[in-house]
Amino acid sequence: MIRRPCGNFKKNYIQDEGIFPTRLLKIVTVLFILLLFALPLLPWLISDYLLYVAITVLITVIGALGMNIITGYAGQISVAHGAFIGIGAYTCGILANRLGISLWLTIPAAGVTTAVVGVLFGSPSLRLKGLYLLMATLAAQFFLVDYVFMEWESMTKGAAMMELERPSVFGFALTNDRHFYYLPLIIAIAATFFTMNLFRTKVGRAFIAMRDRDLAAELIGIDLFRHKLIAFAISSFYAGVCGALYAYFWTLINPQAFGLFLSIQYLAIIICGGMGSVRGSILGAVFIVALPQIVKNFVIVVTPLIPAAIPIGNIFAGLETLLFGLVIVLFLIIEPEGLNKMWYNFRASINLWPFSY
Amino acid sequence: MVFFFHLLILGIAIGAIYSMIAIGFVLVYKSTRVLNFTQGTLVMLGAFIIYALLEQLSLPLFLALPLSLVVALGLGFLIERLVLRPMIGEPLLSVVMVTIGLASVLKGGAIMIWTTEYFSLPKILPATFLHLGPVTISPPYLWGFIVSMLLIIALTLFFKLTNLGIAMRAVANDQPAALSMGISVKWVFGLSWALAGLVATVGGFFLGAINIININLDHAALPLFAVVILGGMDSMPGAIIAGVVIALLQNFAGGYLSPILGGGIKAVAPFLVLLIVLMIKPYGLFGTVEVERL
Repeated sequence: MIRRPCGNFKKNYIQDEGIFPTRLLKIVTVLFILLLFALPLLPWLISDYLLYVAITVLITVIGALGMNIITGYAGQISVAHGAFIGIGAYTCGILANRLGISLWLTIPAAGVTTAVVGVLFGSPSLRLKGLYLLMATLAAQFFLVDYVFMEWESMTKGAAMMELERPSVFGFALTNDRHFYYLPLIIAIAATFFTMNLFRTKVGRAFIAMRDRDLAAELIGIDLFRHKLIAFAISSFYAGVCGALYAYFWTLINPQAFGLFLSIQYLAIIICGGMGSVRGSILGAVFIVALPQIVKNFVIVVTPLIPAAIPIGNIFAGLETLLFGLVIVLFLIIEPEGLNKMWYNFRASINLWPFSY
Repeated sequence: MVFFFHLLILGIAIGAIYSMIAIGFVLVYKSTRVLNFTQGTLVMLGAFIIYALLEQLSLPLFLALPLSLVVALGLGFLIERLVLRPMIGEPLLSVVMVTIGLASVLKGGAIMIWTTEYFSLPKILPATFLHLGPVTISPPYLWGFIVSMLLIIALTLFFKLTNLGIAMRAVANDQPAALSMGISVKWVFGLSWALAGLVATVGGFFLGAINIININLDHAALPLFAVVILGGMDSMPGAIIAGVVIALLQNFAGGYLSPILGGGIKAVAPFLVLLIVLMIKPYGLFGTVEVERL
């Protein structure tokens, strides 16, 4: 966020704190958002399959922003994000199914409920940090998924899975993916701008101070416990909204979908994308959602080309898991700052061309 | 009452296996300060390695068992050298995530080789059924307990008596001081991982013999997190005691509470304990309390 092209001088603080450092970036962003809005109208460009992937990416972006707020910005390692997303999904499902409430209320309610649960399970952060907090959130993850979601069958239907209908807006049902697309899109854009603004406020800066050195932050007057809980609340709110959208999108809530693997996936997103960066959350979400899809398509394309005598099926079965792990390990060893840093490096090398070094 | 003793005795047997695997976890944490999320996957891989050597390559027993231990030691060394060595000095989350990523790589590789089918280990354990009053202990539990205990004693003697063991303790105690005494810290790091691989393989064999071998055997090692938190992440005696405590608790929760609270309680009970322990004694029963200075 600090890296800017040279010659771009700021004359007052308002300019300096602006979200868009240059006018070009502002124009590009507006054009990009317009393109995102136009996507479903271009069936020749975006097939139903690609649209499905795009919706998944948008929903994932919301969850990834939440993950980045708690872990990337506030420095509190949480592996309960998957379970928090599940809380959002179930809140939404129960409200919509039992009380017939429309999405205007279910999505905020999912966010608020998850924020409360997040604060509850984040409260061990009063005493714990680092590895020990990670363990506490791990316990929360298992308790919520393996016990609450699976066993509280009167509410969640457990392994039998809860069904849900696609929501309707002003009496218009969003059953078609091309219409549903706009719901996560609008929320994802709002979430992105809220996150960008959050880190220009006092609370957001306190998060960063807390991450960089908690004791020093406390010495300059930041109430650590309060800010840790605020971080958990905001992050879980995002997770809840993300979960509600998953529920509406899948129309089927499976408790196993919110297991430890989902938490790890979100951690992988912020690591591959870039910790403590909004752009990183988005790039990471695109990358981690696209990876299994690319593998799947690669397998579909390659399988017929290989003679049947070679038993290739097993190798492909493990390919996705292996690549997922490999990507995490390679990013951490080669580029710990993730895709965000790679993007900066790429842009810098273009700016400095032909004298890049 | 028979039911009680049944749960008690099987709990102690499983607990000994947990203790042994947890020692690998503690070893790695003590010497390298890495939270080893790969241990569960190493347990699963260990079971598969023994299965592959005995069943798929049909090697004789006296060759297969030492070979599997050598493979496990080598795997541990390799992991440390290739993945953990470049991560020295990186932030906590990166190091944790690299072990999670590694677990995923190993699991993917295992799926490629052994698919997601179920296998059962050949019955190589002597078929001795021990009758303790009304309770009968089947061979995997009995031998699991005996071998785990022997291995724990062997490791304790190794740390007390051999030069290498003392060097490992020195590194855990004070790294710069150990370096200045001429101890190769890199070698100790590698050795910690190798020993973690070794105990994981032995533990994997018994857990595989008790249950069945599958790619998801790594979940059987999940209660380990509760074990190391309860005992304290850097305490070997803590790991040994907590292993038995957690296994007993899991067994009793499964036996007595699951009719009331649902079947999931057996899997969740260790984590509830973990949460309570963290709230009351964050550094576990025997762990070193970290004092932080600015």
